[in-house]
Amino acid sequence: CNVSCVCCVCHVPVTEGKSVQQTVDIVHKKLEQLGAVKQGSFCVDCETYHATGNVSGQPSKLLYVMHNSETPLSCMALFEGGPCLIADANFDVLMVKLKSHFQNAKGHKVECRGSRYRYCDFLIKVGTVTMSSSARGISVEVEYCPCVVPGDCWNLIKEFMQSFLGSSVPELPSVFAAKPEGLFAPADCVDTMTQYLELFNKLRKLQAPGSNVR
Amino acid sequence: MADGVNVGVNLDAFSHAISGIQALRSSVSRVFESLKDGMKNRETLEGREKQFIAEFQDNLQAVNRDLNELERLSGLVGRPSESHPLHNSGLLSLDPVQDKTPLYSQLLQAYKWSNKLQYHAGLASSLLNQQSLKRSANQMGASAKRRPKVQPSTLVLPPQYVDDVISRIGRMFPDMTIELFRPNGTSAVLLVIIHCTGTGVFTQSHSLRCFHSLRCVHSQVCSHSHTVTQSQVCSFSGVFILRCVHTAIQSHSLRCVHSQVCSFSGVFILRCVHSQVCSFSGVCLSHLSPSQVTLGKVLKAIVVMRSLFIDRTVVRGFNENVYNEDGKLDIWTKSQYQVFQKVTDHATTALLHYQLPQMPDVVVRSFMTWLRSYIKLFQLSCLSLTCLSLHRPGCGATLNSSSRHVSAAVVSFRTVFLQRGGTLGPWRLFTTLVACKETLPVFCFVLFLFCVKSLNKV
Repeated sequence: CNVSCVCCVCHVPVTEGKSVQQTVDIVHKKLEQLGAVKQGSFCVDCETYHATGNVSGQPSKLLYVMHNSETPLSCMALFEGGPCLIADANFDVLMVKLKSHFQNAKGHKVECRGSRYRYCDFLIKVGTVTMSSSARGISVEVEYCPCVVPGDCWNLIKEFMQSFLGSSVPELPSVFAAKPEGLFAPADCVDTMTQYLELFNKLRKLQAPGSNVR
Repeated sequence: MADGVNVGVNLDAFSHAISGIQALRSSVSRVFESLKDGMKNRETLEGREKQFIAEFQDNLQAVNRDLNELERLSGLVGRPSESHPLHNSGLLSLDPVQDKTPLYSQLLQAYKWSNKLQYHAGLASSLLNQQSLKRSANQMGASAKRRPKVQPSTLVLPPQYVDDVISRIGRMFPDMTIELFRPNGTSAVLLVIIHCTGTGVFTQSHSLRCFHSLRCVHSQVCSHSHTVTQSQVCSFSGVFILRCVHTAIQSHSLRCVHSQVCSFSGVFILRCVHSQVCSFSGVCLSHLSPSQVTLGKVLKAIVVMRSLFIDRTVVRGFNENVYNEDGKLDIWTKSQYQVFQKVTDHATTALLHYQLPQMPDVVVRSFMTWLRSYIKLFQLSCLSLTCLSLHRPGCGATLNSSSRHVSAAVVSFRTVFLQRGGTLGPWRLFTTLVACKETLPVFCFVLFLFCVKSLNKV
């Protein structure tokens, strides 16, 4: 699928009384009953870096370096709510060289792995979010490939998600509404990664409320 | 074999002959069996030999008798009639190696198939001749003698005229750009790009200088309120990106929205989506040859023309590549998305529907208007017969065939669902441009239109 497509990443809560894996299996089954075809797997991961050398007393800025298996030769570096850089895969090596400015917060690496389904022009990715090898939640990403403008096709995506997610359908992702041109600017991979980042941060706070990322 | 053959064959004698063959076969095998068994036990050698010879003679006589019987019966069977002479192909049927080279049976099947094809083609041509599908002004048949006098004037048009017509149509629709290419001689290829509509977001206006230098103002039709705003033009490291987007909403207000995108890359990109404005990205009508119609951020359609007649069209998504490796316009590849493959089918139907051999520019304009209705391809829900709610059309929009305002009409009749299967209902009715599901039967629509027209007393 092309890089510029409209994506929506949402968090699916684990069903009562079931484990994470079982909930994922339920979603898979619903997709297969709908007629979707499994097409391999995907992986999105995120590493956190502290920016050192800040004025003491201020919270250090966090740089997130993310990879997406849809764009295997690229890597995205973004500050939360700030600018985003799309670089090639050698950026990871560059970050190692910038050790003095950015320290890797080991143990804060988040990964989301799962399978990819294709249904007509939709691409659905159901993944399990893991942090230090413990499963924290389930993410579902729905991508509608033919359209590049979120405002146009949000209703379509929402209706499609309702058909297999039932009630846990999110609202319009804030990343689209927050753009200066609003909903009618074309979407791109930065929006997708921003949504994943928000999801990871949300899940991080969810099960470990006391921990701080300082 | 009894199919094509009639009274020449005596079926009764035929079955007798077959049993005669079986009898002959069994008597011959009896001969060989008795030979195999050899002499039977008797007291003396002479007795054994005599008995053996007598048995052998009996068997041979039985064979002789059966053979004579068979000859007699085969004479009675008769020859198949010569009314269907097969000539050489009939000899093929005598080939005993059926499983290796089943030529004759395949030949028969091919023959039956071609007969059926001819029959169906005859039916189809009689049906099709009832509709006049002629797309040229030539008259066939009765006036064949006078044909040299009737010049097909609409087929031979100067390229400049075609350019003028296309550019005039392009100016009619501010949210659609039409670029003209001529890759193969004088036949034009259009690339139509449709721009998305929507309730654009307003941002602060600055740098009026920049705005005017682009000559971007383009208002159209009945604009009761004309709001033009521009966003700030930010320059980052000495470079800026300005993207002009035109939106036309419900025909009552035209809002120009200029969006601003910051870039880190240090490149100056200006993209103005108008046919009138010369843009820095190099889209200039006079320089390019093939034609493409870009429906903004919705779709790109490639329309191949033959002078002013639309020949064929391919519709692709906005994020798909329209050029092939040589940099030329790729007019053959289908879209990778199912929704646009359907839209291509519908566009082909549309170009066959809009036909006026004497006035091809009206045809092109109607087709472009129809294509423009796809601007809301992803936004509008389409009609389904299950929940038809007929409200009075709002906004004063009329539904006669000259109406071109899709949004008002469909907003008034907004109902139900998207089609199952993740695809939309991209079918647009040719007269009213109302979106509906593909499977909706036509007569229901006629009924629906009738109700609508009776409600709409304008």
